[in-house]
Amino acid sequence: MDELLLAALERGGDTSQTGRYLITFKEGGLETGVKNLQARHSFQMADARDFAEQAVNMQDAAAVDVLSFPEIGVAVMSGEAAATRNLMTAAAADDETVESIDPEYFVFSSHVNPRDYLRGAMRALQFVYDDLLEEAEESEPDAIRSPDAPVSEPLVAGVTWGLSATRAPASRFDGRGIKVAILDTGFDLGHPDFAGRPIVSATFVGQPVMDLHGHGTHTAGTACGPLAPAGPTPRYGIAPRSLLHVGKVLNNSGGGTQAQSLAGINWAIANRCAVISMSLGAAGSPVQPSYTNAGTAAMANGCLIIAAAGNSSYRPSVINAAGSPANSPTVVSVGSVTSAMQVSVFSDGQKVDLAGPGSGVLSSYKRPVTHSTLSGTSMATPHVAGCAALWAQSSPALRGAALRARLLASVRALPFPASDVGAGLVQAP
Amino acid sequence: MPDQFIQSLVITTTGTRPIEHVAQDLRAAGFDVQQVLEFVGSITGSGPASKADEFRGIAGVADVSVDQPVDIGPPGTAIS
Repeated sequence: MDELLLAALERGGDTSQTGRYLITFKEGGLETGVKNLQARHSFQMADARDFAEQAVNMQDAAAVDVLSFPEIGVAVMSGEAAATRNLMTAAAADDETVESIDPEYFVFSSHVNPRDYLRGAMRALQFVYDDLLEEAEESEPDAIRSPDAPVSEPLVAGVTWGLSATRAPASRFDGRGIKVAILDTGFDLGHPDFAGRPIVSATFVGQPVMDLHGHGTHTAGTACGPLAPAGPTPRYGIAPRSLLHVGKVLNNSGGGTQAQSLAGINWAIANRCAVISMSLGAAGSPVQPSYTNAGTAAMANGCLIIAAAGNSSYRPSVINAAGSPANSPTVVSVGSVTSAMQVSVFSDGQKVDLAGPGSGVLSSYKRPVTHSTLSGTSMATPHVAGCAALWAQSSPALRGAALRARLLASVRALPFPASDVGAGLVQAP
Repeated sequence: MPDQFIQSLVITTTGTRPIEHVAQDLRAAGFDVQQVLEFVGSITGSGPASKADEFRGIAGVADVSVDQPVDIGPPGTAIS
């Protein structure tokens, strides 16, 4: 499917289409229809019944023009076959057995896996919970609010809640001249919100940088997205003038290895990226000496590694410790808060240096979706990375350990233990 | 047969010796060096699990750990 997606993105236009066509036959018409197609248009044909258990591998089937699925009365026609025979509509097929011919669309589904379904439901509940809390807070007169009750930052029109909460929109800094490395699943290099932006990239996983997962495009968007995206999309990026460095250390399934992450950090330091954002980790992992060393090396070279604490908790009953690389003392560990200034239910604890907005975060996403709302310490991390870029721009002295110190000293205090939110909520200069 | 068991390993160096020298000694000891990451002071690659202690004993090696998988949070979920 990756090949089809890449081809679709290269074609441009409606990238939600695969380029193939589906021929739907009238009831009982498939056998005759397929024979007619073969006879009239000299197609290379294959039948799903030719494959063991009818488990068709579409890559194996790529060599044929038309692949028929007798069980469902449908055949898939390659885009090339459709174009060369001009067969994009049922009328063009001129065959009484053909009901319709339609473009095939990509299906991005997480419904197949019941565990994913349950997690989706959990996330929905989290949103409802957050919303209710926010409403309750809004309707509560200030007089009966306890003195240290958290207060949501007033929403700024035209920006995401996360940006409001960090006060980035009011900052006079925009990240200009600051290199920000996002080590993730790559980036959608053709994303319309980044048109004309210089992007430096490298891959460490043997796949092109092009993000076919979406996660990397999302995290990069939060840290480095544009000042004013086109259309109704609110501003979601903290450092719009920063120089985005995309290091693909996770494959298109969202997985990678510690060695690949280290290779990405090495590259980011070699490129003198003042900020290195890592929305990834190994849950439950003890402190890894290699990451601790990498964090020290980063600071010695004027860089700072910022990493997600992790999402393995289910608060309030289960609070797990942050995994690696966030648990290294030389790496800044980021926890997540909601728009109601509560600790996100999934946010890991123990070694947390500060918190960022991480629940219900809108940012860029791989095409054809272009924008998406996600939750996780993965989303909180680039908020901190973006603010770090603004701080770095504010003074050339704020690099490495000094940048870390300023980030932690400039937070907005939150009424929660340091093991949950560290020093508090990240703030822009 | 532990000798046959090859593991992906991440080797952290002390920074007290040139990293290429450490890599050479590791190769000589049977470690298949994949990458020498000079800035972060790590050497990645693979070697027999049974030789981990031998690798640890090489001058300039601070730590030998098994390369672990990393991901974006619980894999394949909406929370990442």
